[in-house]
Amino acid sequence: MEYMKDVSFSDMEKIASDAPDRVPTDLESSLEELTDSLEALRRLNREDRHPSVRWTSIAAGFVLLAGLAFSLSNKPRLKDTFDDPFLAYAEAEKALMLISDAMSTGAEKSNEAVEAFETPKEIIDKIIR
Amino acid sequence: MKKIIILLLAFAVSMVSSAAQNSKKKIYSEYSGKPGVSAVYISPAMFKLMKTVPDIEINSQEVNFSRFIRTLEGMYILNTSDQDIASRLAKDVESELRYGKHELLMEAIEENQTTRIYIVQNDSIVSDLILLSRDGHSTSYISITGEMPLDELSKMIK
Repeated sequence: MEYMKDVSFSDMEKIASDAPDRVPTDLESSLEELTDSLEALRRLNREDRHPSVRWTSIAAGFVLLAGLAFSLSNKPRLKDTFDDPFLAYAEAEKALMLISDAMSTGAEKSNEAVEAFETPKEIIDKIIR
Repeated sequence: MKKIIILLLAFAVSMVSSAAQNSKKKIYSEYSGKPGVSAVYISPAMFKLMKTVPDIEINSQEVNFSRFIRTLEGMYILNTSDQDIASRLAKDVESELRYGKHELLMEAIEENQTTRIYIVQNDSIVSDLILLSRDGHSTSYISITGEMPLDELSKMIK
């Protein structure tokens, strides 16, 4: 680095301008290839987007919007029977009691059926033994 | 094109599931307010509010429903003794059950009264329960939605 002190700024500029540019020799052909492939891709996209495809997309969008609007407008708005949560709680409990009764009756019936099945089974067992 | 098909399929699926929810509302809206029909609707918002209600323990009751009630999200009740309305209501509910995902949990027949309970179950969680009870001239319909654990439901048997 010591010799740099003796070199003036104008000399440095001269040295820099004399230095050969390191440009790849095949840069031009690579750039040409790139622009050609970009152009081909653009052409392909243009050909792919057939007018019927575009119209199908628009029609599908309309169907979606219409369906959404229909489902929203068709939704019946219901009003709560009770404003008081305590009353609502009591009513829910009453309904659950009905469900509980029905389930208990069902369970009782199935137990009766099992018992009724057991009696002939016991008789058959006694006969066999 | 693929995107459009996927979008349409997703839309169709969402329409089917919302239709299942709407069918209950439709049945309720059709019959509530008719003469001879008693109707009760408890919304999901009210059920949220009910979670703040302290546990009510009634000594005469054999089953404690307070834990079960906290798992519920909506309730529709219709009851009528009008013979014509009763038979129409039962038919509408049965057709809803035919096209839905419900399965019969139990059936109890006593004299001229038939009671059926249907559920929609995902693993150990019951998301939907419908009770349909009919006798000669009256029909009772109870529909509850929520996230009801199956073991909590079995505790309802006395």
